[in-house]
Amino acid sequence: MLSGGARKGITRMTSFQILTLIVGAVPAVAQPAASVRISGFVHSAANGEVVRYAVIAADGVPITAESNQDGFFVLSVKAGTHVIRVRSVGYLPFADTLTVTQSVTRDYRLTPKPFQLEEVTVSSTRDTSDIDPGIPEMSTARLDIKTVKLVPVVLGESDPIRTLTLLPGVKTTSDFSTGLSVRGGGPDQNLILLDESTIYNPSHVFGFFSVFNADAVDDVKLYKGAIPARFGGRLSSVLDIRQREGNANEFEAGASVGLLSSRVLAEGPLPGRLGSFLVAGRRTYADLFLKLSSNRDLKDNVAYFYDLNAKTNFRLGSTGTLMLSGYFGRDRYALKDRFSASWGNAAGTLRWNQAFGNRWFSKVAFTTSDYDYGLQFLGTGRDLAWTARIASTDLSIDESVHLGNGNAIEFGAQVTRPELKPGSIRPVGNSAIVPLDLQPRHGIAPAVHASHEIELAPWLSIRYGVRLAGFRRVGEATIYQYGNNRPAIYNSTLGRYERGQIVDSVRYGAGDLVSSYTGLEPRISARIGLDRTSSLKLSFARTHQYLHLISNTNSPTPVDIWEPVGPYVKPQRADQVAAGYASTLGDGNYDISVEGYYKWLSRVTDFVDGADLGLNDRIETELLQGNGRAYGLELYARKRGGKLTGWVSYTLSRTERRVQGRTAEDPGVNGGKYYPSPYDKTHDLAVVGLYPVGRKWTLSGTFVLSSGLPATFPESRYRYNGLLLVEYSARNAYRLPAYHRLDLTLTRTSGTKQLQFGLYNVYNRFNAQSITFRPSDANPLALEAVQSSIFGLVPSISFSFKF
Amino acid sequence: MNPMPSRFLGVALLATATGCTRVVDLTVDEGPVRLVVEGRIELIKGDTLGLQRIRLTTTDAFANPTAVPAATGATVVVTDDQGRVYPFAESSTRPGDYLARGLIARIGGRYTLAIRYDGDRYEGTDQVRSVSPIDSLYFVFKPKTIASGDSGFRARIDYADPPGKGNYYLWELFVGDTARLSRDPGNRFRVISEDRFYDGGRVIGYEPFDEEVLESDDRVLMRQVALSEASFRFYAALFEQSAGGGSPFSTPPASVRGNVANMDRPARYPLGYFVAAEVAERRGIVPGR
Repeated sequence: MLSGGARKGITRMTSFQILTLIVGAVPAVAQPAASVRISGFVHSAANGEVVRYAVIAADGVPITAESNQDGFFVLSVKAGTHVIRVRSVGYLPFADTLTVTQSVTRDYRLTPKPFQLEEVTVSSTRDTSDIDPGIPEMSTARLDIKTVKLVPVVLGESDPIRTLTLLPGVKTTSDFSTGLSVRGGGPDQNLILLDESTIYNPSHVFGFFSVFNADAVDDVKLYKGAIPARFGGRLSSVLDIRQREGNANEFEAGASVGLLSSRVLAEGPLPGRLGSFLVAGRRTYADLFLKLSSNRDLKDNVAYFYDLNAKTNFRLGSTGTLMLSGYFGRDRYALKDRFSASWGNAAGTLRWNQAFGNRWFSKVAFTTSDYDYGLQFLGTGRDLAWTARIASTDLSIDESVHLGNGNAIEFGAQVTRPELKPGSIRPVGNSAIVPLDLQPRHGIAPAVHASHEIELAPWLSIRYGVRLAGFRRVGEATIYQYGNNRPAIYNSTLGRYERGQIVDSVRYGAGDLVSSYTGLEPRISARIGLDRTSSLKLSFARTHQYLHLISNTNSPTPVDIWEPVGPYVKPQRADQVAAGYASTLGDGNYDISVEGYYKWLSRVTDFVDGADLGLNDRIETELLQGNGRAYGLELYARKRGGKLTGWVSYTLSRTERRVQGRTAEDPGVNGGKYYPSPYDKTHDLAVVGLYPVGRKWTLSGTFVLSSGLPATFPESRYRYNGLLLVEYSARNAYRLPAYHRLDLTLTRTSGTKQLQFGLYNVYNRFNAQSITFRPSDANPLALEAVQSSIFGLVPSISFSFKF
Repeated sequence: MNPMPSRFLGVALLATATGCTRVVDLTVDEGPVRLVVEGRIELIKGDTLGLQRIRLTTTDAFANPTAVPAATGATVVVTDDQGRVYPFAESSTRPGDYLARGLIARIGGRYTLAIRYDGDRYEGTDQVRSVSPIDSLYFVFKPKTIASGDSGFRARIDYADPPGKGNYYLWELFVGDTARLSRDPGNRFRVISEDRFYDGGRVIGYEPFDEEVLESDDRVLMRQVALSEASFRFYAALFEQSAGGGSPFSTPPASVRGNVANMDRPARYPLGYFVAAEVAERRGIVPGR
């Protein structure tokens, strides 16, 4: 499916034809002309923010409409008088009698229910689109931020990303990592979007917390499969996170105080009711305690992170919105006169939404994203400062056109310009260090997409589409040429990889084409209704990835760098098929879903043993690309009504890689045999429960139980250079002990005040993060196996209020 | 590569977590016995004796509580690129040590090690690289801090890197006759070094062993060994693996392969490395406080 630059013209043509085909096919299935359209936005009456995924129905019209990510909906009805009903979870149902003779614009305002758990009863309204039997969408998960704030978390710091790991098919590599592995994929295979702007590194404190402040986040949606055609660029998943818009009715401010951080938030209407704004901040203060210390040594150290979220919306008449959204976050750590580290994201989005003719919703977005880090090594005699950066700008146009109830097309185009500066070194003070700059990587990533969702019969709806995306690496660049065109050579006598011999290099001027890849990504999903409340769903999706995270550590680190595809590094590809069953039972109080998936991965990257990736200008000499496969079964059951709410999720899965060498005698990784990927957990169970105790208290608990992660253990030991070392067996041939943990949180809510007590790892389970080997203190001649765990029992307390 | 200093990560973990470690019993399948070659042909600046030592041991069971077995009864021969043959004889006092005298290596000379042991033929080769001298060795007292560990003296050196990239260094520290080297993730960034970032520069106050606390009156020998790119990478991998890993930021455990091959049964590969190198030495005595 991938072709070189020479064929680009042909593939572009193909996509245009596909688009024409889809648009051209539309009139044949369009609704009768007698109908008129009601379109508009659904807002919350409380704060004016848009309500996503609300259901809009007209009595007697079999097909309902749903508000989109921006709260916009279109419903087709026959001219006449209709009772329009609007429902969404957490809001009182709304009904309106409307007489229409022609297409009209109509906004709806829903009144929120007071948030008390026992009242969260839902009937056929959809808050978890992954399970809704009525739509073809599958393999998705949506997080309700109110739930996120009640689910127990370590140190009381609510974190949407950590809560995601309680859902089927989503795992992390360690207690210390917010790097997600979705259906067996790597942490770099998730496209993380905050208001449509890419976040390249979502971690604070080396991965301990995510950059997403639960106060500022409104909606979290994860696509694990059946990824819509409008998304691309990562293999495994899309995590679409939206910031809150802010209260458009009245000014509000709030704060919360936790063990680890404090948060403040202010929001309100813009003057003249032109829109709304929201500003939220979070800062940790471990270092402020350090400053109070009498120990001068502690006092001079730095350790903190902060986040700043800002968003504003301007109304453009009744059918348009201009949005400006920004996120800035940074971590800073320093040991006086020794070391300092700093990293952070800056992301911004400027977006214009406009509805036309009661059927067309148009969106133009310009986003920028920037991730950088800096390190200083001091007091070494060779003091240096090391910086690196990845930045990108992106322009996208997305159009969706309502053709009739249950019949809509979407199409759009996108162009991204990434620029990577993989590393620069500068001397600090009187140092022998010579300035060094690794060459920047430039590229252009264009994409077009089109898809059509149609209900062919009450029992059958499909969504099919295609994305055509590519990556053009452009100069300035110097590309090395290697003997036999092999950047990594296997030395069969010594059984190891060595760097290829440079025989020449080619210099490309600014803007010159270095390499070009283009790939077609078909996406299709279908729903087969079995009865009113249950359905079967099927999907296929192909994805390509043109940026690779260069990391051979167990979890991503803040100092990892990205490498675009080029002459030696080829794009990764994934093909995923999934089949599922979804059902709503007991008057909508219970949802269950079962999904199975199989993924074929090609050209996934791995590294030669002992790879040196730091400040390496020739990553291709350390890198091998291979295949992978991931398959699994995901079970999910959720109780939405009654006093006790919560869910049980279970995943049975396997994820393996095989990295073969480039020639017959060259073994690749692990002798060219399949080995479990570092994220492979055979069994993974999570139980989450929320229970109101009295009128003001809520008790919530989570229990997780999973297979231990794969591990590599010794087959023997030896001594070299005075050190006792181990010789390892095949990669990931063993497993760590099983992981299990119970967390509890007690929350007292009264008015706008919330007090929260948490206990993480209640029974203080000694969960293995790793098993390593070191000489015994008692007998330096002997090695011992040491199991380490990250968290014991951790209590927490936090308090939040509004004023 | 993980450039985060270990102690820093340690502090970060301590500050944020209540985790800990515990020794566990582990049952593993035992692998084949492998020969371990700790071989080095050294050209010590100013040396006229040409005493050389190659140590051969073998791997043994992971859980073995005693010293690793010496590989005794091997035939060890080094030949150079001018056809000279230097037989090594096993020491009568230290089994597994193979000794030769009168082997005064030549800069640029290529040396080949041939071993016959337990029915297999092993071979490895390396070329002597020159090393710049240690211009000075001195000792600095450091108080106890989170950042730098226990209070006490540390050895510092000054050296000048010759112009032209491609110089690689290994340092060795002896107090009396005892080699000092802690298991520390920082070794990979301090005990070895490449001049990629300071080519042709004069390095002042370098501390290759910042973990090694020295006492007043310690008799210290610092050695600066020239490595090749390949042997540098071997030591880098060795130090990375010996640091123990286990943090979320460590690289996957893997066998560290050297430059000695088993010519008869390649799958029964040996461990270790055969290095031929020039060595600069500098001695000093730690002063009083």
